[in-house]
Formats: sequence, C-alpha cells, structure tokens
Amino acid sequence: MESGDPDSTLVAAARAGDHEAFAELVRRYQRLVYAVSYRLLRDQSLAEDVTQDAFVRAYFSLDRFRGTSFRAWVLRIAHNAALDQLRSLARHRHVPLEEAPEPPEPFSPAESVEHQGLIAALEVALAALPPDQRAVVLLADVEGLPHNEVAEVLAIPLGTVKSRLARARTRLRALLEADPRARELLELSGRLASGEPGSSDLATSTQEEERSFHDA
Amino acid sequence: MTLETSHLTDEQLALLASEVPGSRVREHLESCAECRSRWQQYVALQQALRALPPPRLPRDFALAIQTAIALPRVPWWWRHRFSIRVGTLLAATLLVMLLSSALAFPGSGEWPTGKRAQEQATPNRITAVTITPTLAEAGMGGAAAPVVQSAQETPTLEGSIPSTLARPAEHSPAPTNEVKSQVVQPRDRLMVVLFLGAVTLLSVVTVLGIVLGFLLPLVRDPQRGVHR
Repeated sequence: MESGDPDSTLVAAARAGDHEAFAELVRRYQRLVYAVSYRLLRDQSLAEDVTQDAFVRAYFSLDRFRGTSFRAWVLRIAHNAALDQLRSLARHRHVPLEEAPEPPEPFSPAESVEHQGLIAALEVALAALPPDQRAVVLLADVEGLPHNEVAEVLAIPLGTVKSRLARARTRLRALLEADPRARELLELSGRLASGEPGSSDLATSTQEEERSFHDA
Repeated sequence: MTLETSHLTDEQLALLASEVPGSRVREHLESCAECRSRWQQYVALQQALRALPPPRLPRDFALAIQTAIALPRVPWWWRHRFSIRVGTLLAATLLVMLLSSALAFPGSGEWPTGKRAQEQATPNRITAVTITPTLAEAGMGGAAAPVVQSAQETPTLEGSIPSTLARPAEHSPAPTNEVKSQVVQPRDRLMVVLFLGAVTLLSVVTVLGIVLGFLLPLVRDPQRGVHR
C-alpha cells in the first residue's frame, strides 16, 4: 500500500485489530459503495447485502490488501459481488418488463418536478446500459473517480476504460435524445454551443443550475 | 483524418467531455459548429450525471459490520460439518460393503468377475474341473486322487457333483493353458491392489470424518461462547 493513500493510517490500525478504525473506513465509503451497488443492481435489499458483504470481506482480507487505494479495493469487492448477483438474477429471475415492480424511490423529494424528470430519465438511461458500460459511467461520471482508479476497480486497462466510457456516453446521449424528459438538457446545451450569449462557458452555467437545484 | 475537413466521431467527442482538448481539436471545435454542439451535449450529459443525487443510505453499515467482525471466526470444519458427516457415513458404508464382500469370498482376496464369479459360487466343481486336470497334466495324477476323494466326501447341495467328479472328461473340456491362466492372472493382482487401496482410503476418510465431523464439533463448539 502506498503512503499516498489517505486511508493508510486507518487501514494499518484496522489490520492491527482496531475495530473502530475499520468502522471509520466504513463510514467514509459506505455511501459510495452503496450508491454504486444500488445503481448496478437496481434493488435496495440486494445493494444492502452487497455493501455489507463487501466491507465484511474487506475486513477479513485486510492482510492480503496490496493495492494502492482502499477505496478502489473495497469498490472492486463490491463490484464483483454485484456482478455475481446480476448473473444469479439473470439465471433465476425472468420477470417480464411490464410486470416488473417499480424500484423504490431512493432520492430526496426536494427537487423540482423538472429536475425529477431529468433525474428519472438519467436513471432509466443508466439502467439500460450493459453492466460493463454502466459500471464505468457510474464510477467515472457519477462518482467522479479518476480513470486510473476506475481501471483499478474494474481490473481492466486504462484504454478499455476510455473506450467503454466513450461508448457508454454515446449510448446515453442517444437514449436521452429519445426521452422527452431529458431532451431539454441536450437542446439547451446545443443552443448554448451554437453561439447564443453565455455559450462560452456551458460548464459554469450547468454547474450553477445544479447548485441552485440542490439548494432548493 | 484532417480536422479541418471532417467531423469528429461521436466517441471522440464523448471522451472529450471529460478531457482537456488538444490545440488542434480545440481549433476544430471553435470553427465547426456541428462538432461543438455535439461536444457540448456530451459535456452537459457528463455534468448532469455528476450531479445525480446519491441514493439515500438505508442504514449505517458501520454498526452492523462492527457486530459482524466482533463475532469469533467459525472454523471450516464447523461450517462444513453436515457435509463431512454425510461423507463419513457414505465412506463407512462403502468400507463395510467392501469388507463384507472380502469375508464372503475368503482366501481369494479378489473381487469376483465373470466366469470366476460363477465358479466361486460352486467351489467343489472348481476343484474338480480345474485342479484335477492341471495336476494330472503335471504328472501328479496319483496325488490328485485324495483331492477328488475329499471332494466326493464333502456334502453338497448339488447331487450331480459326484458324477462330475467321477467322469471329469465327459463334462468338462480338456484342460488347456487358457484354463490354467485363469487361476493366476495379473489382472487379479491389480484387483487385489485396488481393493486394498480402496479399503485404506475409505478407512482414512472414515476416521478423519469421525474426528472432524463428529468429535471436534462435540468437544469444541465455536458457538458455545456466542450463545452465552
């Protein structure tokens, strides 16, 4: 383990048997691990199981941890467990789409109707991606992990991460173009890019919009 | 591809959404409204994804995991004790069957097969058919007589045995080397070795199974401390 890992002290303490140090690591990453598991599995109870199992496995395998980052390592364990669950679901559950129950709404209800529509459209588009592309988008775009860490989590080369990410974004854009709830997002960015006032800094405008949306 | 004349592909633009474009790409994006528009869509998409609110955490996992890791680790023999017990019983049953079969065919030490199995079912007839001509062929006809005699005196279930013994040539083919070769065959030795190997292996499995599946869980129950 490299000394650059911000968790190295806690990991060392946990290895020495300090349960509280490991609990601190869990508190640090439980939200991230649960979010990735939930969005991969689309099932709250399965995501809970995978999250808990990932941390328990991480604890009992701490001696074997040789990676560069605890975050990437625990995410890798959770990702593998989630993939196992997906394979198991594919084998045993054949619920037709129209009969499948709606997933519970896990998000804060504070957003406006418009943004709820956009969020729902994004979630549906994400769920429509194949698992390998979904995992890359979740880690890189939704959670903001650097590409090299995504490569470490998924155990694939950096070039594969980039190609999967590019394919996933292309597919997401196509899916969102077909969804009226998200069309506004793409149309707005297209208008801004075509030379309307303020188009020079789309990122800033989008971020401001997001900030106000979260403050609301 | 020359950037001045052809558009960037969707995958290039998608990847550029999270990377700083190089000077040539930047120049192209500034001059080509179509590519710039699509690029901006990818940037907007990427930023919308980044702004997705995380799912609400259903519970604090730290507490549950602290409880889980505080439990003593259960040894493997405790986790698999039921499978070990089933395996032990199977091994013991096989062992008893093998040993019973060996006791049912004393002296041979072989697993009966084909013609030999039939012969072993009527041991008196074997004596008359195989041994007598063999000895006679070896020039020991006189010595074979007591064997035949004793076979005649032995009470048997079949009434035909004495007549068979009296006229062996009428009922059985002339003794050949083929018949002799059936008495001691390399294959029989192999069977004996296999038999002994199987008995040894099953004995070891049975003993280990009894220790790991029955005795250890009885003496060192790892859940005893938890239930207290």
